[in-house]
Amino acid sequence: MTRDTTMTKIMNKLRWPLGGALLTGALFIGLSGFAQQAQSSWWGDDHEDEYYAKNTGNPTHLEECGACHIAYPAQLLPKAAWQEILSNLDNHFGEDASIDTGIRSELTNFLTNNASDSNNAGKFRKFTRGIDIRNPPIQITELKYFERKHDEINDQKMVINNPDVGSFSQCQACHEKAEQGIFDEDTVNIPNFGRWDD
Amino acid sequence: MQTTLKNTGSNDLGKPVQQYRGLLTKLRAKKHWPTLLLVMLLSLSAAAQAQTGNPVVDHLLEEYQSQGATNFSAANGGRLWEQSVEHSKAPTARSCTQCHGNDIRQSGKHIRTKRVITPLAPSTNPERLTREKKIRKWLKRNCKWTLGRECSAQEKGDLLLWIQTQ
Repeated sequence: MTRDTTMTKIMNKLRWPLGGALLTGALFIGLSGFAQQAQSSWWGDDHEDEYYAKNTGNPTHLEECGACHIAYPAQLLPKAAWQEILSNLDNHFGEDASIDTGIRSELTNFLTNNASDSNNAGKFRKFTRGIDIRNPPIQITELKYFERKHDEINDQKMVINNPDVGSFSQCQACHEKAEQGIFDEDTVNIPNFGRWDD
Repeated sequence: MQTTLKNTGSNDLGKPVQQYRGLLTKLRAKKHWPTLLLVMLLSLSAAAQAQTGNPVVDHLLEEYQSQGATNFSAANGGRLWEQSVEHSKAPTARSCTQCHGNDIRQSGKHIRTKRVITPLAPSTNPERLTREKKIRKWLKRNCKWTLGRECSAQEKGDLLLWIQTQ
C-alpha cells in the first residue's frame, strides 16, 4: 500500500469545498445573467445601450419642428449646433422658419437639455465623435458619426434616386421608428430594398 | 309707404277688412320703428361679418375688414390659391398648390422635404382653422414663400373663406 502524498492529502480535504465553491460561482454568474436580461441592464432601465432617444414627444418640439420635416431628436446634435440653428430660423437651410421669442426659448432649453453632449444623450453621445463640439456642423447628415453609420448604404440607389426616400434628411423613410427617437438597425426598412440584415 | 292690402271680404258688421301681409309689412304699417331698426342692424352686421360659422375665422375676417378689406370672395381666394407666382427670392415659380395640392381635401406633400401635409380643408380635417395663432403664423410664412411678400388683408380673408368652404 502506498502512502498518500502531501498534495493528495490537501486535495482530499479541499475537494468538496473547492468543487462547491466553483459550482456556486458558476451558478451565480449564470443566474445573474438571466436576472439582468429579464429586468434591465446593470446601467439602468433606460436603453442606454440602444439608439433610443429620451424625452421625445415634447409637444412644442413636434409642432414647431415637425411640420416640414421629422422633428429631429435633440440627441442628434450638440448644444452649440442647436443654439446656432435656433438663432437663425429666418434662414433655416434656405427657408424662413421664424417663430415667437417665447417658443424659441422653450425649444432652446429642450434641445440643449437633450443634446448629444448633454446628460440625456445615452448612446447618442457617439454623435459627438470627430467634430469640434464648440463649432460643430449644424446639419445632422454632415456629422462624422452619421456618415460612418451610413457608409454601407448605396447613396444613389437607396436614397437619392429612391422615389420613396429622396434624401438622407428623411430619417423616417427608412428608420421606421425615427419619430419615436428609435434608430436601431432592427427597425430599419429601406423602401424598395427591404430590412437591413447585417 | 306702400302697404299690401288684401280685401278678404267683410266682417260681421258688413265692413271690409284689410289684411296685412307679412310681419315686416305689419311692422311698417304699424310704424314699429324700434323693431324695424333692430332687424335692419342685425342683417347689416351679419353681412359685414361674413359669418362662416367658424368664430376663429370670423374674428380674423373682422380684423381684416378693419384693416380695409371689403367683401370677401371665396372665388378670389381660389384664384389666388392656384396662381403661379415668380418673385426675386424664388428660383422657380411658386404656388400654394405645390405643397398643399389643388384639392385641399386631400393630403399634400412638402415640396422640398416630401413630408406629408394633412389636408387643409376643415371638411376633411376638422382641426384646421381652429387656432388663430397657427393661422397667423402660416399665412405669414407661406404668403412670403409663395408671393414674395405678405398677403394683404383682402387676400388673407379671401383665402380663409375659400379654405373654409372647400
